[in-house]
Amino acid sequence: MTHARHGAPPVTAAAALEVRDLVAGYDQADVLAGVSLTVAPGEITCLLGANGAGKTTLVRAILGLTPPRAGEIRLDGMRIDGLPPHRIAALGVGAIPEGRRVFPRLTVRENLLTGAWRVRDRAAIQRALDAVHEAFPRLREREGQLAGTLSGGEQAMLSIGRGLMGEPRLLVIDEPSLGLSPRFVKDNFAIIAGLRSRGIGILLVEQNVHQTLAIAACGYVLQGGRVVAAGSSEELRHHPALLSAYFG
Amino acid sequence: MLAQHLFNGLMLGVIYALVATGFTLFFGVMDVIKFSHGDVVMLGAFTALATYAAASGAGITHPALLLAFMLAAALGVMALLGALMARVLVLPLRGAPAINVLLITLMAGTAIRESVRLFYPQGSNPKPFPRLLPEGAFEAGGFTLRYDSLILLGLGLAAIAATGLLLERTRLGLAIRAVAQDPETAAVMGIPFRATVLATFALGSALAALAGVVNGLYYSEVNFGVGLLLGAIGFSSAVVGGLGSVWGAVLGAMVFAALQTAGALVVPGGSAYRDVFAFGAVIALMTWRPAGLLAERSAERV
Repeated sequence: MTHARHGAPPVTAAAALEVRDLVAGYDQADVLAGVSLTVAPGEITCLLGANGAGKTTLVRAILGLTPPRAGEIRLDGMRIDGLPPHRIAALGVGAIPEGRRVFPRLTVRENLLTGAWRVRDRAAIQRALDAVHEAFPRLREREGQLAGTLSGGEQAMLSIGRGLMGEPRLLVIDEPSLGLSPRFVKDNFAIIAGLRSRGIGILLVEQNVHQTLAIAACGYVLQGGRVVAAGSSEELRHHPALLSAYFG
Repeated sequence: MLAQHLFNGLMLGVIYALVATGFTLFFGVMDVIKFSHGDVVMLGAFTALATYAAASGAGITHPALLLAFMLAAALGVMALLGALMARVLVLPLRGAPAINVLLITLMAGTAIRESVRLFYPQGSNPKPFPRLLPEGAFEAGGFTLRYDSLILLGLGLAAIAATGLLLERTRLGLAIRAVAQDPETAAVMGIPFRATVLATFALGSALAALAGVVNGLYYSEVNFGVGLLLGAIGFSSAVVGGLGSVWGAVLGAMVFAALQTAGALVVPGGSAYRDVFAFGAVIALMTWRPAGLLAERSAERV
């Protein structure tokens, strides 16, 4: 898979996800003060920034968990802002939530089936299940085991597999390395890099700047609820705003 | 003699389990205790009674047919009422302290109970519940096994088994369990939160209605206050079993019925003190195991 390592963020026409002037927050306070970004299909767009920069709020707004106060969110051109989360999921947004959030008292298989809950066609569900099992043979071995008994690495695989079960058009991956052992962080990045070949848009939220930029085509840096830098991974790697976003 | 007590205890346990399952399901998906649940049990029995009156008035005499109408009406109407209560009393209070839901459903239960007392024809008097099941009994030694009790036991056990299968084998069951464990993640997977909650309350309330009808048929009587004790017992059973687990609720119900039966046997003065004995034992049990018998581990639900 070749992807643009140089040049501006992808153009609007090809965007899987387009966020424009988004304002969102909790109670009185706005966490996001007008954020715009695009995610193109077939490549990874990353979202960088320190804790409290607004990354989680942006993810929650895209998934419908925190309805935005202003601005637009479009999936393949279609407005999705303000829709309830299950509708957004049904339109093709897959989520790999922060902390993996597997259902601990459901089996591995049942966890995967929740990812395809909106799919009615049994044959399609089986195909998705087979594809996940092929990508993660470990999940087939552990099929009947409760997800709460899996290791952190296995839970990470399960969370990714579950996010793919609905065959999404856009995949939102939130802090996938958080809480994983260093050895598995590396594997996890390799798995995420492999998702590019699916041709879907991927928004990757990460703290791990260097490993993220190595697999992302382009990205955005959030600070104080605003985009302070945007560009190709190559450009971002040496961008002064990146340093100040984390240490400023 | 012992066999007789075992059977009676099992029968009571099944009725309590039907009530306790509702408590545990509601707690599972919404983290709330719905205190009107006992009164839904009672209203289910009265709905069946009213249906009986209407159907016999229309000239239907076949007992099985009458019973089918009564069950359909009681379960259907209570399922709708349960969903309605979830919609107007429970869902709007999401995010409010759990004690507010407790209070609001306590008041709703009182309103249901008083409405039956005031508006059902002679509602303040105990009502005879029609005997629609075959009379007669097996007799062996001192053991009498009435056919009607056997049918009721089978009906109750079948309902509990069906609920277990629904939760573990169906798409709706998967949704209920996922929402109980993590509603937010369930939603981003595409599982609609509100619809799942409404379905859960409908299911729990239909089971309550079945408990009311089975209880009425077993004792051949129903009164407007029957929900108070059945509600307290169902709630205790669910807590004893470790709120949130359906099998825990069934176990808790069986433990409670066993305590009652044992109390009636060992306490001098007999069955008059069985509830005092059983609730006393539950209090002792709770101090020994504060989280219930099948204690909910971190995120264990339904």
